[in-house]
Order: sequence, then structure tokens, then C-alpha cells
Amino acid sequence: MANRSGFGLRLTCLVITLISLLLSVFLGFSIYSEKKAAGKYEKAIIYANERSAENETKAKNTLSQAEALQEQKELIQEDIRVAEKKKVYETQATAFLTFDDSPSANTLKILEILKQQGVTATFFVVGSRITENNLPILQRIIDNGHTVAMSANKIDYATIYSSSDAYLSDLNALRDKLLETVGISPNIVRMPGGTYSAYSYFKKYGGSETVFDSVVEELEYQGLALCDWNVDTKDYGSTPVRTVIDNALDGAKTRASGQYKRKTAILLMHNNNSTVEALPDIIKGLKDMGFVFEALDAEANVYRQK
Amino acid sequence: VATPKRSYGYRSAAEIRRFRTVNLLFAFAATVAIGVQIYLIVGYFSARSDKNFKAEQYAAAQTRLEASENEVKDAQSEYDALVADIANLEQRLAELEE
Repeated sequence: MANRSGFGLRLTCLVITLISLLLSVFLGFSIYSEKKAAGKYEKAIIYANERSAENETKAKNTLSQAEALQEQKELIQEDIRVAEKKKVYETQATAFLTFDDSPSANTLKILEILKQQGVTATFFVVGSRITENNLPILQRIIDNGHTVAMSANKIDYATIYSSSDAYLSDLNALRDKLLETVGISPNIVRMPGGTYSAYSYFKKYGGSETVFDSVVEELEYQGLALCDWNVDTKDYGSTPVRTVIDNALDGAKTRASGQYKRKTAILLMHNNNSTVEALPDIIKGLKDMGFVFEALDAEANVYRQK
Repeated sequence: VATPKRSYGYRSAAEIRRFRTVNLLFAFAATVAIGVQIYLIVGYFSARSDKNFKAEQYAAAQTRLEASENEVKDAQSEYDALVADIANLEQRLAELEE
């Protein structure tokens, strides 16, 4: 019995061992294959991650270059807008009504006339005139879609033209006041008396011809455009209303006559009673001559005498 | 006296001990073989699971790679479009300024 069961056991063990040997070969090969495949995946993952990182950097760099190009594109578009406008001015007579010494009680009357006539204009404000009473008028100028530009905080020639710092600090005071009261920071400036006179005043009160140039340079640096006028209505003093109208229309006619490259008339007016009386006829006369009306644009239509 | 013959179920004690030792060796070999099998089977499933995990990671990495390649293509298209736009705008500006 021991003999028979002994051989049976040995045979069973032998069969088990042999089958195991075969299976071991198979399993060993399978494990090798799986590990090899895992290794390949690992290498591919590293490669893909490296490529992804490279691509992300490349995309980021390209996008930042594109961003710079976008800014360049916007600048060119702005240049085109200005150039197109200037081109239009070569054929289309355009009037820019500008009112110095704003705001005042007469500004309300002027605004009413402009509203009736459907005309936009530019108001050069003086800081000392932005009082509690005049503040709603200033707000109305903005609400009616007109342009607000800066004159000076206090019109005192001997003070503001005494030095570059004096002029700029006065202008900064006006800008601060406008920001504080109505939340705007205009980019058009008119020197009291105009640039031609300002040049002389800087020389007289500032003691040097170079003061004017340094002020102009600083204004340009700050992105502010200086704007004078090319038609003086002389609506001050005791000028009769009829003369004011004639000054405006004759001056505008000359500007649109073709002797200048652009048919733009920048009319200097104030907030006087004669201005209010003359304004309806001035607008009518200009319309009859084919003028259209625009507010000043710092880029497209400012004009300097000096 | 009958001589003991090598017949079924009749052996000396020494033969029986040797016989049992050999049996034990066979049994031991079979047990070791089964143990090795279990070890290999566990190893195989572990390797397969590791491979599958790596395959999933690879698929994810591949998706990221494709997305990054698309990002590069999109950025390049945007850049090229801007270059073309700027060229046109510069030409338009030059015409206006003539």
C-alpha cells in the first residue's frame, strides 16, 4: 500500500511541478511583457509631458507677442481714424465752437441754444468758476454730450506764467478739481490768451524764452493737447453783436475757402451776453455755408498758433 | 525459510525511510512550485495593473499634449492674423497720409 501511494504521490507532485514549470515560463513571459509595456508608457508619458510643457511655453510666448501686436494694431487704428478725419476735413467744412471762461450763468443759455440747433461744442473751463452754483452747469455740459477742456485754475497771468512749475501746478489744480467734482480728466488744454500770447507772457513773467517750450514739452509728455483757435469772434468788451457774428462768419468763410489744407474753423467765443445773442445767427450762418459741427478731438483737430 | 522478496508492501525499515524521504522531497518540490505559481500570478496581476495605470496616465498626457498643440496652433493663427491685419492697416494709413 505504501509503495502504491508513494508512487501516486510522486507522480502527482511531478505533474504539479511540471505544469508549474510550464506556467512559470508563461507567467514570466507575461510579466515581462506587461513590465515592458509599462516602461514604454512611462517613456511616452515623460516625452508627452516635456512636449506639452514646451508647447505651453511656446503658446505663452506667441500670445504675449500677439498682445504686443494687438496694442500696435490699436495704435495704427487710432492713427487711421485721425488720418481719415483729417482727410474729411480737406473737403468738408467743419466748425468747432469753443467757449472760454466756462461755466457761468450764460453757459446755460448757450447750452439751450446748442440743444435747439443740435450742435456739439467744446467748453474750456476755469477752476475758479467751478463754484457750488456753477457745478450743476458743468455737469450739464457733460450730460449734453459736449467736450470739457481745460483753461486754467485761476486766470492770473503774472502768476501762472511766472514759471513752468507755476503754470503746471495751476493746471494740475484744475485737473484735480475736475476729477473731484465731475470725475473727468480732459486731455485738451488752452493756455489763457492762447499760445502766441502765452509765449510772450512766459518771457515777460518767467524771464526766459525757454519756459514756454519746457511747458509745451511737459504737456505733451502728459498726453495733453494744446489747442488755440483760428477764428476770433472778439465777443468781449463792447463789440456789437453784429460784429461778433460777422467776425465768426467771415473768419469761418476764409478757413473754408480752400486756401488752407483743411476746412476747419475753430471759433473762439466766451460766456458773454454778446456771445449768447450772436450764437443763433453764427450757427445758422455756418450751416448755410455748409459747415458741420464737431467738438474738439485731441488727436484730430487741435490747432496751435505758436 | 522463505526469503523475503522485493514484493509489494514488503520492505526493510531503511528502504521505507528512504522511500519516505524521496516522497517528502517530491511533495516539497510540488509545494514550492505551487508557491512560485502564486507569487508569479500575484506578480502578473500587479504588473498588469501597473501597466493599465500607466496607460491611463499616457492617455491623459496625450490629451494634454494635443491640447497644448492646439494652443500653439491657435496662438500662431492669432499672431499671423494680427501680422496680416497690421500690414493692411499700415498700407491703409500710408495711403491716407499720401
